[in-house]
Amino acid sequence: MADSVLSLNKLDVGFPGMTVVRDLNLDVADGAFVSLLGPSGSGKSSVLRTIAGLLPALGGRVLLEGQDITALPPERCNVGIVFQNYALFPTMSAFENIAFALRVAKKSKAEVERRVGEVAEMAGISDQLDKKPANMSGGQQQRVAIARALVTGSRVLLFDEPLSNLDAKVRAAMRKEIKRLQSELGFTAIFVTHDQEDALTMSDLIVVLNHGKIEQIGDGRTLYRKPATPFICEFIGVSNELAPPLAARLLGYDVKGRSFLRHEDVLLGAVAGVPARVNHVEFLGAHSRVDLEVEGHALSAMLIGDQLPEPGSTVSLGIRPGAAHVFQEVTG
Amino acid sequence: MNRSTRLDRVFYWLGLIVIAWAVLTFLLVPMLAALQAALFRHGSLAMFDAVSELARSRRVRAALWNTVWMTAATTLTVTIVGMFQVAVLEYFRVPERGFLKIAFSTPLVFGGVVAAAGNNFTYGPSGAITAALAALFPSLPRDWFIGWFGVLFAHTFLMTSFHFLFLRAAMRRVDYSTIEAARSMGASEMTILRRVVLPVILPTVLAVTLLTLITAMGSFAAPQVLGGRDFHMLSQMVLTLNSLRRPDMAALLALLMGLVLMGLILLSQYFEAKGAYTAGAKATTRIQLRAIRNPLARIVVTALAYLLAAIYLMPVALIVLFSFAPASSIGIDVLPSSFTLANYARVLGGGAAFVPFFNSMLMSSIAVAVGLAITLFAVPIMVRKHSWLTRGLDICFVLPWIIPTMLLAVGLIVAFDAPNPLVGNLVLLGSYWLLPIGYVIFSLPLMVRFMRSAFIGIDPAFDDAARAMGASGPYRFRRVVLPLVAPTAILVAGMKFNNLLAEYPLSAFLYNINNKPLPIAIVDGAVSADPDQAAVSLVYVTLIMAFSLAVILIAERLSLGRTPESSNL
Ligand SMILES: Nc1ncnc2c1ncn2[C@@H]1O[C@H](COP(=O)(O)OP(=O)(O)O)[C@@H](O)[C@H]1O
Ligand SMILES: [Mg+2]
Repeated sequence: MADSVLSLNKLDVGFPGMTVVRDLNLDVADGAFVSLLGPSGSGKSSVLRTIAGLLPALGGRVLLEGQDITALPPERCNVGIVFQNYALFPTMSAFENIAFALRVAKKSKAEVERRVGEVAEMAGISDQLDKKPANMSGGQQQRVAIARALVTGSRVLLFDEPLSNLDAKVRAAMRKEIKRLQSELGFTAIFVTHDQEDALTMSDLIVVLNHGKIEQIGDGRTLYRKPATPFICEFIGVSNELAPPLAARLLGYDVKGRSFLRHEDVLLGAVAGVPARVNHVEFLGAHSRVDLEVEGHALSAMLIGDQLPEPGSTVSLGIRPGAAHVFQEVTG
Repeated sequence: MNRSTRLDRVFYWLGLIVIAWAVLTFLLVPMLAALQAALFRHGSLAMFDAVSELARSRRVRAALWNTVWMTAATTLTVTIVGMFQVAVLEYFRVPERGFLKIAFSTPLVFGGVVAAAGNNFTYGPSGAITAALAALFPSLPRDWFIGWFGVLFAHTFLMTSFHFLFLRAAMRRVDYSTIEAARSMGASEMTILRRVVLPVILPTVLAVTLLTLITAMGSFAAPQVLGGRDFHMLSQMVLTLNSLRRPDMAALLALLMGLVLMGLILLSQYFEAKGAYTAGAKATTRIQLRAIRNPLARIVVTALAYLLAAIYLMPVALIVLFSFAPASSIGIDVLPSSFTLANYARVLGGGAAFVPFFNSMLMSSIAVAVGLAITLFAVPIMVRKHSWLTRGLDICFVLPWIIPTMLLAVGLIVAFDAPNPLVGNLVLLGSYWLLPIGYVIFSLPLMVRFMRSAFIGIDPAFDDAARAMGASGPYRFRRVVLPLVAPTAILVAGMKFNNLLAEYPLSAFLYNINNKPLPIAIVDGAVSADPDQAAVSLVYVTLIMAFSLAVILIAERLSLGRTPESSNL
């Protein structure tokens, strides 16, 4: 790929004696927002630290704008990192936090002031530079962290779960903020998260990691509509796994392997459906979940609106045509 | 870049080698020397001979008996007073709780030598209370307080800091909802105390009792100042044997005491761990203070609480007052009739009275600076790297906590009373440096413990972030890590400095005329009949208390709390 700004080439990530992620290949286009999504412990942070040069690669290469940076020390990798909880130095002002890398590089006083001023201006925190991080709001801290990562001229920013300790409302605001800064400042983002909502809402491309392997790469819609593996199907969205007899009954053919049906793809009141008993109805606000029993198997459905079946009643159950995800076993 | 990292490595290894040498020379070798002196004679094991020689001494037997019964009596009286304090502060509703809390916290600034001297200035032959009593009862001997009674009295009111700190904390961990549950099921107040409250605080009660026992057993300054000519305890015997040029006997006695103490410390740690376990860290409803229903009981409890507060505050108030009084009024007046700054001028003015003050300031500063340097260098390595070397270092650093100070002191004496190749064949005994070296060793456990938790508390992401921005190891340490641990370092330095100004056991063994420190001068002044010396001592004591108070207030500011060590009483 000619316009890819960052490429991972057969990258092996881990610690001496323990490979965490094996044979990772990825091309990231300039200006893209790529998420690394996976359960905790799947090696996301390790991948990020390897790209940044904080963790030596066990094999393979990292290319930044075509240049091999695999063996370079962190400061020469020229990628910025935004850490979980931002890792702003609490003893330094916002200005000193942003200026840190420039001071390490022994830039002149005038240059430090000019460059910190520029990046602070872009991030919209020019009036906050004297404050200590503890006296700033979460949003301001995030801007300082991003400004600090950008000040040396890095074009690629790595985010390691910066939102994971925030509550839902703040989190949504921070997502918007990161996207806005990205479109204004034009950096390329690699965003590590274990939260599917982070990944789905922000990314152009999502890389799903599990047990040290890439499960699937694609945009959010693709992962949701065309999951490549049972893991993706269970990890993104909420699905029923269909027991083989039930799958045969609902799909009309024998399934060897695993099959899934998302809650919203279960239809109630279908013509010529299968009879299902309503066990329990849970009102969740925007939608409701209905727990059903079909021929001895449990199944859940998602309904929108207030017309809900009575617990104990029997309804006719169908499925949205073509919505089931079937992973046929190839071997016998 | 390569040259600077190579320099870093040279520095790193040099530092480790220096620390290893220091630990070997000033901790391990003295300990072995003490053991050797205690257990061997002419190259063969002769412990039983030595023990029987010890046992033949009538003075040692008397001191042993005194120590045993004084320890038992002290443990009993301190438990009563301490429990009463906790009940008044944390369980019953008594008016002006804040005032009582301040009064009961005085042992935190008023311990060890300071307290022993303070009690002497209040109740001793030249004390204001004695002056008042003598006016009322002319037949009262001036030294009525001196002897076992004075020692027991001082112990009783000055060793309650463990109760004040730990038992109160345990009381606050009692979940109030369990008390309310018991009450709703009809339990009486007694039943609630016995069945609900006591089981929760019992491990802490045991731990605190053991700590009291340990402190009482090792009591040194109190009998030295208040015991008079006839009441001696074992710590004093060790010092006497040492000054009689029997370091072997001194080492043996210190070792035997040390074994008992070590057993008790281990036991108290076991209880402490159990207490932490049963109390848990779960958030609970805080205990609500109970009004005492019975009016008579309420009046008695309140009166006792205020009497106790008076006992705590009076010596402190009198000392501060008399430090501003003319020397001629000491032991004569009940309250000073005029005030002067003459005593302070004598201490701070640079004359003979200034010397011990200066010596202590200098030696404590040196010891704290060296201790801090060692800690700041070694602790980050111990936290980061886990090898037999770092683990060994870790154990060595906390050893002085378990080993009785006197044993360490005797060890340093027997190891350095002759040319020692580890220090370039110098004889350190009698030089200026043996005492400050002892101070450093004695300071390390607390410093290491505090700094370790400070370093562990640093989010590793800070290091990653600084590394990603190209900062070298020393640069990261200076710009990122050091500012983060600085508050703890300042605090621990203050606490230790404060401790050292009033450190008695090591000082008593290791000082000489070149470096006579403050605690020795305080004891001399306290037992001296010369009012001028007493006046100077009062100023010393006031200055030390002021400094302790400042450190505690700073600690509160930094919200780190104060951990008491077994005080130097
Ligand atoms: N310093 C380390 N040494 C050895 N193993 C580690 C270290 N740090 C993390 N690991 C292991 O590497 C795996 C991946 O960790 P990490 O990259 O932090 O996962 P994630 O960020 O996806 O939660 C985990 O199994 C973890 O136990
Ligand atoms: Mg992680």
